[in-house]
Amino acid sequence: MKRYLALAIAVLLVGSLGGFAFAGAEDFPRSETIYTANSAPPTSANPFQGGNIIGIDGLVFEPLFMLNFMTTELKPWLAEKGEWVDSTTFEVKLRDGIKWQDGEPLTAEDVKFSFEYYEKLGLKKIEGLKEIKVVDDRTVQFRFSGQPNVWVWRSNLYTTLIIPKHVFENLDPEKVKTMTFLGDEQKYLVGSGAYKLKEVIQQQKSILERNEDWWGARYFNKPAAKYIIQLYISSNDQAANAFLKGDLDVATYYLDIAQLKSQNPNIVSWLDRPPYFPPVVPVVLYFNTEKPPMNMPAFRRAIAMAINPEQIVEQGPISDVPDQTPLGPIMENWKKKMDAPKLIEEYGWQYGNLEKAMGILDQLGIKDTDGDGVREYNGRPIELHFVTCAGCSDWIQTGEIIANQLKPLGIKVVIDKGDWTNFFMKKLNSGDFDLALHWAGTFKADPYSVYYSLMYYNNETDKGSANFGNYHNERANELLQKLSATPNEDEQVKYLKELTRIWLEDVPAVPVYTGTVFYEANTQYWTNWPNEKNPYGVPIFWPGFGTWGTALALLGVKPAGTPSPTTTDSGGSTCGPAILVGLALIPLALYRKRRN
Amino acid sequence: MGFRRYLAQKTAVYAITFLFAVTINWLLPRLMPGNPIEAMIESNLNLGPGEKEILIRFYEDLYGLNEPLWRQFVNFWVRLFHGDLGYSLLYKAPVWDLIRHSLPYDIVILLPAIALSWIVGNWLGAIAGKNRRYDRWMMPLFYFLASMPYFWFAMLLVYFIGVKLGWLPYQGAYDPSLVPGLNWEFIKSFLSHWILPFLSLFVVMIGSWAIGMRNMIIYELEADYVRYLEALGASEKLMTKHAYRNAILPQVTGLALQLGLMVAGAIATEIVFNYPGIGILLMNAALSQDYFLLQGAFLMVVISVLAANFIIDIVYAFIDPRVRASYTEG
Repeated sequence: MKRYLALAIAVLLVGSLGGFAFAGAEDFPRSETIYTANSAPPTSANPFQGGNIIGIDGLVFEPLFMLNFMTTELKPWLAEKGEWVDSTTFEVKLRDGIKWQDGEPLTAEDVKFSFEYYEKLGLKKIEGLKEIKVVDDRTVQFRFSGQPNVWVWRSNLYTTLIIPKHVFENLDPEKVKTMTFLGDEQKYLVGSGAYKLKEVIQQQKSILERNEDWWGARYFNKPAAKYIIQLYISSNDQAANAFLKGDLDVATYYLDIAQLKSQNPNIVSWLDRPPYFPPVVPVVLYFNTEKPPMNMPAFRRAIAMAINPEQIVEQGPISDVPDQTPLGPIMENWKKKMDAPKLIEEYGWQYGNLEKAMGILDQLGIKDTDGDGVREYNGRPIELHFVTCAGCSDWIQTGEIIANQLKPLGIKVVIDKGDWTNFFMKKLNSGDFDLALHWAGTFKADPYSVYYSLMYYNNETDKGSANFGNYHNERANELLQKLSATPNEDEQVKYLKELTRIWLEDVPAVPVYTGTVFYEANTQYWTNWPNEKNPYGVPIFWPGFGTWGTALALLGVKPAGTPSPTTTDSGGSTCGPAILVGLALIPLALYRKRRN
Repeated sequence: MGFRRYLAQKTAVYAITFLFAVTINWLLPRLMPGNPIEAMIESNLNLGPGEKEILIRFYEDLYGLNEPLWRQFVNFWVRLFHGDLGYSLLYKAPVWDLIRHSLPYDIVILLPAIALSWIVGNWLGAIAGKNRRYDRWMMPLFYFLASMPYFWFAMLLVYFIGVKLGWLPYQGAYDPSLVPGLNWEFIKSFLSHWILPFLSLFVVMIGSWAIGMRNMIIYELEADYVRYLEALGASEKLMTKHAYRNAILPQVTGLALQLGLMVAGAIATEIVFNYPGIGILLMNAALSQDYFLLQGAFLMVVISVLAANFIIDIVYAFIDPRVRASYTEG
């Protein structure tokens, strides 16, 4: 009886091994493979929505233009150039010699088909787009009725993947919505890009293989890596281990870079100095601008002055010191064009100038009359509620520092915490708060989107998506309207300058620190990772950021000169198991003996 | 006749339990406050201007979450009987595919761990129940094992055997440079990655099985029928045999429940060893209110727990003569 039981268990054990998909054994030479990772398993390669494989967008399927989010510039990709030929027509000229991975040529028909397919799927609704006209094989015109929003159109240029008409025209968009494009469906993944999806091993990894026949080798460099493998690593600790051991080349995890570097000098990030991680956009402190006394620009200005970002950066979350504009370091080019430092000097405030801040409040008549250290407004002590989410430790930390900085100013700040959706976002969206931090308005790929989401306000429902404080300024609306309509850069800069001036004068919100994204790379096998000095690609190794510039980064890496062989002590790893199996078997053996 | 009635009765009870459990599993996630689609869009950093509204409509349409609740409930059952568990909000893949691909990893760890720890635990517990001297130093060990959290022991294994001694790999299910295949290299890699997660569960589980068995044995050895045997001058071996047969019964029930719950995965083990499995998927599904994955995975749990209990009910009829008597003669 017992013996049968043991046998049954053994059979089950071996049988459960059979549950995995078996494929031929394959080797991925370490020196030709880039290893990246994601915290979710690769389960879908859907190029339109929700795929979680890095590179399906950008490396397999390509857009007309690639965005480099770190510089917010567009790089012509499938398109040789694209421009507004008149105020309502955008013309795209494709590059010469573009081929699909199945050898068919990529033409203007495919471009027209792709944009229409996105609309059919319900994933895009390009306002005012009247007609897409194929002029010739390499030229396509997008014709709008009325004045198009040039910035919204700009974002469509890099978020719309061009798909092959000859493959997708027979695929029902309704079905495509929930397809994973894995297994039998993988045959539809015919892109034009530098890599093909070779295989997805469920719950383990996805493997991209270089397309040796890529059209782009003529215009850009041929990609260095033969394989790009995305591993499934769910925890930060395990990611750190993998980096230290050299099993992982690049990824986006929240790790202690300084400590990693001390253990493995090959590990790099964006900066050479703390915070190491790439600072991208400022996190801003919102005021509920409908609630007195925060409806007074002077009051908001006083608070902005009392805040000291340097202290926040030093004692708070991983971050860098912001300037006063909501445009992050990624928009350095724009800021240069509009001479932001000068605007800041002229119209801005001075961080950490408590005395002046106090002067402003005194002038407003907001004084501490009863001597309890808290100023009164209309006879009532000012107590501001800072709302945040209970799990957002960096925001809570920042809130505490701000509360301390505002205390000497005579303003009491109370921190209210709750869950993200039902407390924090609900309060922000319903205007039931005094102060709050968020990055939703600044994490954008162009300055128009930043100002629009932070400052546009028509009514309670028609407003910028991150205008939580309900800031309202007719002039700003007007400027945004004008800015949205002009493709002329000089005019754009003019409007941006004025918007920045309004921002600095009116203080709808205060940038308190520049947030970073996480990024770590290992130079043992691959070098030339993008960094501050060479920002050719985007260090965000998350699915969905491919055309935002992750693809550029993966195409730009170079092999390290002398790849050192992997040091796997195979002796130990076979000996160890043997010992442990032996240990496990001893009790069983003993058991047998006793019975006999 | 009796057995058939017993079976029919049991089947009816299980069918009703199934309906209730599945309904509750469907309803509970939807009663949680918040809207998973808005949360999903909100966490999506790279949205263009005006894309948020378009996407919210797209996903509400896709998942049918804009329909009234009763309608969603009807749709759920209709789909279920078509064998469609839905489409995960979080992982953007059919729920059945997710379960199918992740569950084998849990089973390959949990099944041997549960089964072997049950055998070894019962054996050690039985010895402890009979032998005072042995009991004195084994019991503290059992209690120590039983009260030890899985993740803590797992972390010890990772640190000492994986990192310090470097004997065994402690991350993933096999070497990242391999593709699963029926070849020695892969099997070797798979087995060496399997040992530590298996041990972390196996060793900790032994404790509680052993404690249960030891207490049952002591209880049974004090029972009248054993004393009667003793008075008749039966050998110790015979007495132990009878005591053991009775003592094992509650342990069998416990085993069934454990095996049934196996399909919920081993979250702590999966996290510590970065071992793939359904536990982490489920945890993330709960955190991001992925209704479809949650209800699909809990459906599996309900089915397997009920199935395990059902089987045990049948098995009991064979291993416990009292139960058999109750329906054949009563």
